[in-house]
Amino acid sequence: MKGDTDLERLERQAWRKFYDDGLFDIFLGTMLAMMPVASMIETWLPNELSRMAVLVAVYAGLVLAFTLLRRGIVRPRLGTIKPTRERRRKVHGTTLVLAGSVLLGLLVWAVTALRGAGNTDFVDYIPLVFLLNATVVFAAMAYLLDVPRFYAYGPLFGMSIVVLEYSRTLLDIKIPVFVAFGLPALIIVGVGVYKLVRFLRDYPVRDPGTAIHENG
Amino acid sequence: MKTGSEHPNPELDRLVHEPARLAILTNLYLVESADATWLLQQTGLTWGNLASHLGKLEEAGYVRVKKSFKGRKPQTTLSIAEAGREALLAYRRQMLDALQPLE
Repeated sequence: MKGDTDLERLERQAWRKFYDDGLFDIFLGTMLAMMPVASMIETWLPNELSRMAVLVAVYAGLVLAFTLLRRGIVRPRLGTIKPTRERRRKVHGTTLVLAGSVLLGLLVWAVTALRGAGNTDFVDYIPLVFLLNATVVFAAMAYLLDVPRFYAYGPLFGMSIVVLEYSRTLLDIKIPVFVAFGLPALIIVGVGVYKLVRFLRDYPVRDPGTAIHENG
Repeated sequence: MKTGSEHPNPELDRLVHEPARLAILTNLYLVESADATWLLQQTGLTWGNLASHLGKLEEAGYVRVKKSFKGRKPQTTLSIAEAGREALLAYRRQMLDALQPLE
């Protein structure tokens, strides 16, 4: 469709509707809000393995809830499509970016564990690595999935740890962990809820026999 | 000299020229395939109208309709055929040519 500007625009509009439900935003915001829970689990559970198991279960539950909600809310309203090859290539690219981000996270964790907590030089830079990683990952997602608001989510995600850590180490101010993660999470969930309400209003489920469509 | 009753382009494909069928073809052009719910939402047609126009387009070889089962649920997958793709692009060219003098 190169050079076919109007058809490209129509394709983009049709594609973006699948991210207009706000569920992905709610999912991202909830993930961010769950981070303080991760630090709470550290104090409740005795060993690393049980902590990891609980965290994996919590995040797997979130992913499952997100998948079921999307299936129950979006599919009856928007239906399903198999996108163009170019669009599918971009979705695969997003998966690769996310996998790369997870690998980077594991690498940082491994390096930190190997070099030990005593190596403060490296540990000091972890919030910046997290900020950079989140910004790059969300920017790539925004570009590849064609959803511009994701550009703003990366810095929001990353700043939570930067503010939390550097306010303590550089300014000697202790910001509660629920505030540092909760505020950006609240913004992202708020955007998601707003979009979900609009989505439910704009795209009603149409059973066979329903009369004229109102959004056309 | 052309009169008002004269058709501007007698070679226009009447099957594509009809607004509902044009909407169906245009939307199917944007994806590799889709189900009827998506097409319904995109075009604003009723189920009855959609089925009727799809039948005509399928008969002309412009649209492919594949019926299958996902578990126990019937599923209809729609896609634009090569002939439909060519007809849509030809129609688009003809309309642009016809409207260009008005710009």
